[in-house]
Amino acid sequence: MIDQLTTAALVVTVLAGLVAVAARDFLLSILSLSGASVALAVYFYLAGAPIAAVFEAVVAAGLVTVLFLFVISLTETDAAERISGAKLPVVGLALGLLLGVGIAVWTLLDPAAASGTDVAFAEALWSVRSIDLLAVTVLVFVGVLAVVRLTAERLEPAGDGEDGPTANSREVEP
Amino acid sequence: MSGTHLAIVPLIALFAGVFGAYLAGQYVRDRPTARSGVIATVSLLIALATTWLLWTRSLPIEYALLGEGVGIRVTALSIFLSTVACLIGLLVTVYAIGSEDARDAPDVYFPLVLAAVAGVVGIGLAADLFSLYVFFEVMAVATYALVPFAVDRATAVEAGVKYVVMNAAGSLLAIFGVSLIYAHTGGVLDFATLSAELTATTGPGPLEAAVLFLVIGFGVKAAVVPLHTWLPDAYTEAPASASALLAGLATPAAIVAMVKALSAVPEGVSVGLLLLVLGGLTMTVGNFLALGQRDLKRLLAYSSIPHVGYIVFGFGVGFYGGFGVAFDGALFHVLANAFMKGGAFLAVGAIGYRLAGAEGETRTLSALSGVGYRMPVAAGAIAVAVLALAGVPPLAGFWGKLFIVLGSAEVSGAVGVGLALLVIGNSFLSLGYYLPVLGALFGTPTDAVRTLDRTPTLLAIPILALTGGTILLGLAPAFGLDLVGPAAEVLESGLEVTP
Repeated sequence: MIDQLTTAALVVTVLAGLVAVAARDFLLSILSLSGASVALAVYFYLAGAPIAAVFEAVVAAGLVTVLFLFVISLTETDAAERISGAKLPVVGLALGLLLGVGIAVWTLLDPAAASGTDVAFAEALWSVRSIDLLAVTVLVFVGVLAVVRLTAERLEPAGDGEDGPTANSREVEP
Repeated sequence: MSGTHLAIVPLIALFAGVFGAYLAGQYVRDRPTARSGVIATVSLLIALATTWLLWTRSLPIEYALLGEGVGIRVTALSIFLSTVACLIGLLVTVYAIGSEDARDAPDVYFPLVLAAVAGVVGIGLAADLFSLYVFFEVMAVATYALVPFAVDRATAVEAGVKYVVMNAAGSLLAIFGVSLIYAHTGGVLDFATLSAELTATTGPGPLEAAVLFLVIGFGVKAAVVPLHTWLPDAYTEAPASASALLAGLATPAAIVAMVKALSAVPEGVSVGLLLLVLGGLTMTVGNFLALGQRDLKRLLAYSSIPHVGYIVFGFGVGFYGGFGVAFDGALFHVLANAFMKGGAFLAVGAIGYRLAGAEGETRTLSALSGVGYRMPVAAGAIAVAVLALAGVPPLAGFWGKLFIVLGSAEVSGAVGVGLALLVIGNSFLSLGYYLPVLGALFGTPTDAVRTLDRTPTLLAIPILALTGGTILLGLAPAFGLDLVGPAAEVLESGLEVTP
């Protein structure tokens, strides 16, 4: 079971990495990069390095992806238009789902394979406080929604009328 | 572990609803408001139904998410909070589908409402102090975005900033209080053993410090005077359905969260006295602030402060002397307040919905003169709610206050009489601003009011349901007491559990 998961995690990492390089669509590229990070984090965890896994998931999959998205949305190219508006929350949701999958994999697995204080910490985080972790996942998602709402005016490209970001980007889409 | 998967279903249904309502609002081009709202309604109905199923089981039920670690504990208090939260959430959602509240961004609005409800449900279910804080935050963060939801209105954004800044500071203090308790017990936060642990151990500092931080931290969200200054603006500027959710659910739930945390504090720390003083101050100051308000929605917002006061005061009396009847009264008032305030804010919103096109002031009492003849449902709901809020006998608000007064009178000697008179005096004081509302609603109609349409059906349903609840709870308080009594017992006995 563990072996197959390890292989699967590595395969997903490589595939997602390839897609990230090959994709012409910025959004797809960034998303698959963060997907690769999540898969890599799963692999780290299986290999007995839970702390590295946590940081990989939080920093690489979460923070770096968000930074990419913000930088691209600042460049005012076609890509920015694609990402602005409705797509940003979609990205947030996708990230949340990816993290959720990662969390589910971690918590379902038996952490007995590894040992040490690192594991004790990870166990405290993922197993003992799983209900809080679930709540925090929702909390982060709600926070993203709140930010999306509060910055609704500013996300909109200038001079596009008064429609909300959702309606606006629907017109842009083919 | 005497667990059943049913225990987690309400929470999971609401969490799934948060994501589901978002996706529906985002990807359905055709009438996203209705689709998103229907998903929210369905998840609330599932949560309500499972809560009722849990109610029929023997409590408490312990459940951990993956069979280990800190889980949730379903007690009578959880059932109580879950029922109130899902009911109010359901009616608010139906209202928001029919009104303009969510029109701009239904994909954001309904998830936020669901998250606020889920937070309150979680407050009831939380098995330890840290989980309590996390769920409190889920509720708080959801309301952070609901207050300034009309982002194109500067006053709403201003109210939102005030609300977020004050409550974020409050949350910090609350988590600091939790950490002090954690240090005190050397790592025990579980409600089942916390009280005994706090008695047995002596931590680094006085336990009073932790209690103060918890009271102030949760007290900001609960709008206890002098931490109430965000409330009038926030309730006035939020969309009607969000105001109803805040006033009817979120603010009282913050008090319950505070009391749940404090119920673990052993005797010897004068929690009761502290809450008594704060409650007395809150209801008196709140009533004086509400006097003389001319804007109907703002008046209702101000009048929420004294009701926070009654509830805190009731809990204070309960802790002070260990009087069960005061706990009953305070929790009953939480229930009654949900119906009264919810109904009133929704009805004011319905009138605003019809008056939206009119010029000039549309919410002042003089501008609303005679609205009772054109919109009998909304105005009637406000009239019933206002009478109930004032504590007029055959309505819901009467019983909670009566039990609180009875509890106060049990405090021995002149002090008890004085406390009882304080509550009664405040009730009469509140008539000073509730009666002009009645006068205005059925006065001579103004020109703008003369042409108003009736209350829209979809808005009338939740308003009538809440008004019906207010009347029913007043006529047959036993319905409410069935729910409230066991919950109050849980709070009173300090959530100690012997599995």
